[in-house]
This record gives sequence, structure tokens and C-alpha cells, in this order.
Amino acid sequence: MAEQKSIIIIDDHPLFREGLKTIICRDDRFKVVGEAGSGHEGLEMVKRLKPDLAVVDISLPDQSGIQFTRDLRELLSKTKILIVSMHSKIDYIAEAFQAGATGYVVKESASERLLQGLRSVAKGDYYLDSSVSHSVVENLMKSPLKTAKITDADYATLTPREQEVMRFLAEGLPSKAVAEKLFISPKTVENHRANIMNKLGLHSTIELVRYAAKLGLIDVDLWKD
Amino acid sequence: MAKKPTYNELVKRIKALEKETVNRMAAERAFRQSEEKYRLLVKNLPSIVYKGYADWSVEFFDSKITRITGYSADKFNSKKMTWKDVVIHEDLENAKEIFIRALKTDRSYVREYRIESKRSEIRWIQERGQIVCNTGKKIKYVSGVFFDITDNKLAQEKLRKSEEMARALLNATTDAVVLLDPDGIILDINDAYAKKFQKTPDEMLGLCIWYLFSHEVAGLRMVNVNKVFKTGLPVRVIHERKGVWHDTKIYPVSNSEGETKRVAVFARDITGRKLAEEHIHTLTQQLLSARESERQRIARDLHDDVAQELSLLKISWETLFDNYSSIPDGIKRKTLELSKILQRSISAVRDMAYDLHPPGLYQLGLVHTLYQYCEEFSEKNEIDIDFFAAGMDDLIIPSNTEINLYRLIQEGLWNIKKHAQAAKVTIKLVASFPNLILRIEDDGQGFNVKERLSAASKEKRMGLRSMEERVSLLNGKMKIQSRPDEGTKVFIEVPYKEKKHG
Repeated sequence: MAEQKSIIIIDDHPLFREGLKTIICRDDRFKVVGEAGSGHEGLEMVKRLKPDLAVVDISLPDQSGIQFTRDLRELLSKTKILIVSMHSKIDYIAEAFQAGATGYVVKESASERLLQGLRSVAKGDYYLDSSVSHSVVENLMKSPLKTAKITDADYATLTPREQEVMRFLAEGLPSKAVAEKLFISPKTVENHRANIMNKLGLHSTIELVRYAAKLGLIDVDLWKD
Repeated sequence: MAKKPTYNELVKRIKALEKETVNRMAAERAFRQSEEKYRLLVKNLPSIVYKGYADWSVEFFDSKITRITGYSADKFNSKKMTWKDVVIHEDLENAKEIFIRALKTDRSYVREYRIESKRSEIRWIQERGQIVCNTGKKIKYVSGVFFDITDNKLAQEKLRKSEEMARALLNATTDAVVLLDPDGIILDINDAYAKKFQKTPDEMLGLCIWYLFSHEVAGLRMVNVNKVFKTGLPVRVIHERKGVWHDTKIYPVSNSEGETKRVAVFARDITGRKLAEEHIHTLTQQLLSARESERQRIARDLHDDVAQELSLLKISWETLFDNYSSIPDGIKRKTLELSKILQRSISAVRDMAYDLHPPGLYQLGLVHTLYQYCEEFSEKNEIDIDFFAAGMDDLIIPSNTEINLYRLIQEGLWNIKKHAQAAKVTIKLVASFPNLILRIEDDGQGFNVKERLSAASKEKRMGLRSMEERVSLLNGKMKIQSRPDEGTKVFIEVPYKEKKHG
């Protein structure tokens, strides 16, 4: 028989730990060597036992499972981590993997998935619960398109003052009026204008207005009530 | 014996006599003319000249008295009637008093009283008289004039009544009212305004109002008053000073040429209302944030407790028979089925929790959470949503503002789903220091904004109202534009505090 992989379970619910343990024991390649109810306790145990695998609840009473994962990675880079989580949102999943976990299973998943996950992680593969991977893949597929839409990097480089000036200019105020509104000199306004045009790669006031309308700073197609 | 006159002498005398006759005739003619002139004068005077005596008998020199009294001058002149007979009894005493006082002083008097004509009409008479006494200081006669001042009196009375009415109205309102000329001179003022200066209205008349305020206050108010004088258009100002709120309306009062020569200022103390409004705002804010924390708590309880317990139940259930060697197939099947039900329950509870409170606001930030929400909403409701954010990175947005912006988009989308029948929604969130601009635009069927807003409050449909309330809680503004069959645009602008860098 091949060498058993040692596992510790970190979850604050004794009954849940019990359940996990029972499931894990179904596969005799795994052996639960320790259980902990908190992150602190877990780290101590990890130091002592140096397990091959850790099954970690994403929400622990004293710290988040994510933070625990980071700490554990730093301590023992060889121990593989499988996160067990109530959360199904991609953000948590992404965070878990970024922290150094290589497996993610939602708690309500069928018990077989947990074992699958453990086997994959033990082999050095990544494992993502199929009940969430569907939405993750979907998200991944559309994100390159959409993330471009979320933010406009050029506009983000404007200073607060430049944002103010840009809005007034886009609203059609002459430099002098902008200067009066902001209590600065017309020359300063002109400087700001030049910087804005430069940062946004614009060449005329019309382009500036169009850009502002695209962002939603102004509405060029105003309806009369 | 006298010498007989010579012819020449006779001629001389006759000529002298003739001359004298001519002179006398001229004098007589002159006298007649002057008397005629006098009569004409007396007759054409609007007043009635009389001569009166101590026994109230009177003489008139023309017939004008008939027009007023209905009695002929003869009736009086023949002493068949005295003046006392026509004077209204109630007014007699006062008239007598004035006469006696005159007698004791310079013997001239003016008195007003009513008389009753033959046709029982009441007329007002003003009498100006001079008492003439003989050497024994006894009254010889009185000469004077009567004026018929009835029309005057009625007009005066009318004026007095209308003024009384106006004043009563002015004083009935708790608003402070003052009428000013271009120099700020108080032409009229009501009790409420005068009371502010611990004075009566009479004490305030003619004062320049600008001297009654501090320089600063006077300056501010003068600007508004002068604006009204200049433009002839009313101005309304709501301002606060030392915790007292006033709603002031300044109206132009134009003369017959249409020029504004005076302005009326109505100042209403709205401190109570303002306080109530603030109170309502505070309450609404508390309500909204209470609801928010309640939702958060329920979401957390659902997610962390209920779903957790359910998953505990599930894992325990699934491992329940692990230590038994032979389990009937029927029980195995049943266990699996029940497991699936538990799994569905857990998913449902978790979705409920996510719906109640966005779990990502803390971890992911507003933009990402909103983006996700839009994605999910779009998928669930088959509405195409474009979410676009700019300049939102690195902003420190108060969490209250964050959650309310999230709710605004949520409510906006719910409204669209419920009413708009839109195919496409565009949401833009852009930082424009020091504000955040949020635009939610759809291509749906549109609606009449005013009608919807008033209907919404009547039907207790809170969609738009609640959005407005949220925006005002964030000290922002909201504008809704809608066109039938073209869609709806919601514009929201709220302040945020500061930028992390620079």
C-alpha cells in the first residue's frame, strides 16, 4: 500500500469536522492526523505535525481561512491546502487561490467531490468544485471583454482638480468662468486643460465633450421635460 | 336874499349835478355788479354760505341748501325750521361742545356731523364758522359755510375699512410683512415684523430698515430687495441665521405706470418646519441604516448559521451509515435523495443571503460588486446591461454612500424590470471630484415623471420616492427624465469625501 497522506482539518464545528473526517476515511490513502477549531490552534498543529494536506474552512472564528492559508503557505510551502467554504462567489474563490490554496469545495457539495478534491490536490493539481466552476469559467470567458468596460484607465489618471476642470469645460464653460468657479487663474485653467487633453489623448474641445459624454460626466442628448 | 344865479352859474351847477348823477349811477352799477358777483360766487361755491343765530336759526343766501336737505331756503329763512331740526340727534352734543370751545377761544370752529334730509337721507356736513359777538360778548351771529362731505366721508370710510381689512389681514398672518421704498424706508409694517424689534408698527414707520440690521445682514438683504426693484420680478430666499430659518418672498408693488416703486417683503419663520424636515430626514436615515444593518444581520445569520447548520446536517447525514457494513439499497437511495434536497436548501439560503446584502462590498469594492450584480441581474431578467465606471479606483467612499449607491442601482433596475419593459440598460458610474455621478438609462416605454411621483406617494409605491430619499440622505441630487417609448434617464450626483492620493 502506498504511503498514506496525512491530513489535518481546521474547522470550528466539531460535528462538521467529524463529517469531514468520516468522508476522508472512506479513502484509505488519506489519514486524518489532527483537528483544530481555530486558525491559531491550526497553525500550532501544522508546525508540529507538518501534514501533507490541510482542509481549511474559509471562515474561522479567529481569522479568515484565507489569512490562515497565507500563514500556512509561509510556514510550510509543501502542505497543500483545500478550502471548504460556504461561499460560492468567484471573488472568494479567486482570493483563496491567490492566497495559495490549490483546491476549493463548497460545503454543500456531494461528499464524493471532497474526496476528488483531496486526490487532485494531493497529486499537485488544482481542484475546483464543479458546482462553482461552471460560473467561474463563464466569468473568465467574458471578463476580458467586460473588464475593459469597467474602468477607463486614462480618466483615472486625472487629479481631482483636473476632474473638476474637465467637467466644467465639458459643460461648455469658458476658461474664465471655470477659473472664477474654482478660484484659480484662467492661466491655471489653461494648464489643466492642456494636461487633461494630453492625458486623455484628445485634440479638440469637441473630442473632450464627446469623451465626457461617453463617461457619463455630461449628457449631450438632454431631453426637455 | 340870495342873488339869482347867472346863466353860466346854472349851467355849471347842472353840469355838476349831471356829473354827480353819472358818478352815482356808476357807483350804483359798480355796487350792483359787485353784489351780483358776490351772489354768483356764493351760488357757485360748492359750499353753502349761511348766517346763523344762537337759537340755531339760520339764513341762507341761495337755494343750494335745498339740494342737501330737501327743505327750501325759505323754510329756514322764515325761521319755520332751525338747523337743529336736521342735525342727527346723536351728533348734536359733540357739535355743541365744539361750538362752546370756539366761543371760549378764537371763536372760529370746524365741526363735522350728520344731518337727515327731508327724504330721510343721511348726509355728512362739515361746518366752518366764525362767531361774531357784540360788545357785551353776547353772540350776535355766526357766519360760515356748510360743506357736503358725504362722498368724502363714504370714501374715507371705505378706505378706512379696506385699510383696516388689509391691516387685519397683515396682522392675522404670523409672517413678518413690511412695505419698503427704494431707499429702504418703511412705508408700512405689520405687528409681527415690528415685534421683532420690540416696537409697534407706528414706531417703525418712516425708519430706514437697513439701519436696523447689522452691516452684514443688511448688505445681504439689500442685494435681494434691490434686485426686485431693478427687475420688477419677485425673489424668494430661504436663509438661516443663528438657527432661525426664514422663507422670505419679496414682491414688486408697481404703480399705475407699471414701475416698481415699492416692494413688499414677506418673511416666514420656517424654523419649525425645517426642524421637522431635519427630524424626518434623520429618522429616514436611521430607518434606512437600521434596515441596512438588519438586512446585513439577517444575511449573515442565514449564511453563517442556517446554511452552515444545514451543511453540517448534510455532511452528518451523508456519513451517518459509514460505519455500517450492510445498508439496504432503498436506504442508500433515500439518503442520496435527501442529500440533494439539503443541497438545494443550502443553495437557496445562500442566494437569499446574497440578495439581502452584497457580500462583496468589503472585499471587492463597490465597482466590482456592482458589476457582478449587474451581470447577475442581466442574466436573470434577460435585460442587456452595460455597466461602465470611470475614475472610481482608489476612492475612499464612505460605506454609507457605497451601500446606498448599490441600493440605488438595485432599486433603479427593479423599477426598470417592473415598469419599463426595456431591452437595454446603461449604467455609468463616474467620479467627478468632489462628486460621484451615477446615470441609469433604459430604452423602455418611459412614463410621465410628475404623475408617477405623485401617484407613487399615494399608492405607497416607494420605488422612485425611496431613490429620491436615499439621494437626499447622501446630500446629493437626482433628476429623472422620461419620454414615452424612448426610455428613462436617471441622473444622480452625490458627494464623496476625498481621494486617497493627492
